[in-house]
Amino acid sequence: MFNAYIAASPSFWWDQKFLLKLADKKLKTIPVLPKTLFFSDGNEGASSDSQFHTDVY
Amino acid sequence: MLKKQNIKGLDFKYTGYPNESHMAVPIISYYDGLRFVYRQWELPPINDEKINSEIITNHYKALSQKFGYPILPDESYFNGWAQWLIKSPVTLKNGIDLLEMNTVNYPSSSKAFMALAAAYVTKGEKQKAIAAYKKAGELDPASTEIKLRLKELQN
Repeated sequence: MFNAYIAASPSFWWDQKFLLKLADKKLKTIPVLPKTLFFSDGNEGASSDSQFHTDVY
Repeated sequence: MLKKQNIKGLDFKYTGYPNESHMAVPIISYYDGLRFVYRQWELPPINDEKINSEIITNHYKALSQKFGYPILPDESYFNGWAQWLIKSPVTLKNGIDLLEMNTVNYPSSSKAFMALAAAYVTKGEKQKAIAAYKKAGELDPASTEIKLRLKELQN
């Protein structure tokens, strides 16, 4: 919908990573995606090996 | 997931903030996120002798492409820069180049043509100055200042 997105501490873990699984599937069908995305974590997910962001990255 | 899929065109960045909680992290994320989204917005630093309309036009063309809508170099901002440039004989031609660019980007702005005309006067290009003042007068027929300037030049 937009050209750029900022996701601050998104709850991607919700419902056993429902959104991540959905995104993984959908993105495979999109060859080109001219979008900008910034995402972040606070202290629950900012450690280097936290699944909060390693799954997305 | 994003790196593995290597999605063409997708521009992304992750930042972790160990000092912020889930509830506080949006404040700094919006700031840094906007910084990331608009990181190419500003024209890269360039000195007064090197600046020209081609560099500016190419920069804004690239921005328009990235953001998906036409983005024009701001008239007032580049007029201000040009006023600075025409003060020195070394950069006078750069200033005129920027003012000419403004008249192309803003063809209905009488101010843009007036500023260009005044710069032509500074450079001693009388005929070009008259032509630019005439154009400014067409766009703003009520202006007494333009009529006055034209009179001064044509006498």
